Amino acid sequence: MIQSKERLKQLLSITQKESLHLKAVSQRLKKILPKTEDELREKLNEPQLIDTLESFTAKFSRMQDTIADKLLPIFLSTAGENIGTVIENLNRAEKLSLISDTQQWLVARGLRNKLVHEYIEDLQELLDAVELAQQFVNELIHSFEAIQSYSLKQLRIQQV
Amino acid sequence: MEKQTVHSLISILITSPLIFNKYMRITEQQKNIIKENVNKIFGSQAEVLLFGSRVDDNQRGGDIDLLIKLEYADKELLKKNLNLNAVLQIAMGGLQKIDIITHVKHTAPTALYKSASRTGIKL
Repeated sequence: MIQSKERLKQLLSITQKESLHLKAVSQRLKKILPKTEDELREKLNEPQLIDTLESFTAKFSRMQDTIADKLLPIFLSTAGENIGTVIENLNRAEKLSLISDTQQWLVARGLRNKLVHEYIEDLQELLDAVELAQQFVNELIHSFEAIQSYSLKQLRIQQV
Repeated sequence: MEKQTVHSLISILITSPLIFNKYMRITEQQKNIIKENVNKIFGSQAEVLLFGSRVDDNQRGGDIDLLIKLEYADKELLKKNLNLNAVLQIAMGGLQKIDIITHVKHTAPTALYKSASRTGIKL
């Protein structure tokens, strides 16, 4: 139990950093992302946009993985819950009101491939994908904060 | 039995779709789950085809590759595509990797769409 509490504390600290970085890059991307397909086609040659989009995609994916594959299982086991597959863990988190909806989390997982600009032929699809991902950033941050708050209050994890 | 009758019986059998229908490597239950959810999310204008390794008898397992053909453009295509993938994963227990491509009639076909449309089997 002590070990799992230590691990949970460590993961909360990692996820907190990821959360700050994701929020920051999400705002930077919002400022420079074109609104239309034509503007985007021109701007896709600019390193600043490409780098910011790459960085956003990497951090967006990493935070999903950290929460779904690492933080949630250790959180559930520390809380004395059964742990199972990713979908089962997400369902449990949904019941505990820590995430909004399992289906949305799976949608967000599917979004990653749609954010890789080299793969996407349809630039409108890329714009739509970025918009959906930006909307999901808030969900990621809220979920992290809910897990953090539960851990501090109910599981007596000391402030990270 | 007359020789001619035997011949005509054979010719009926070999042209019968029951025998020469290409084999799909998904269960009846999976097929129904897919059709039901495609209809729920994209409506009755959508046609769904299975393609890729699941229509190839010489392969095993593999992703479930689906092609959704649509009559009309849809502003929420990406969202619907991802939602369909998510509900199918949940309904199939999350162990199955699913890839979905969409194509709207009268729009420029991609290379992947062309091959999927040629080799795919309607569900």
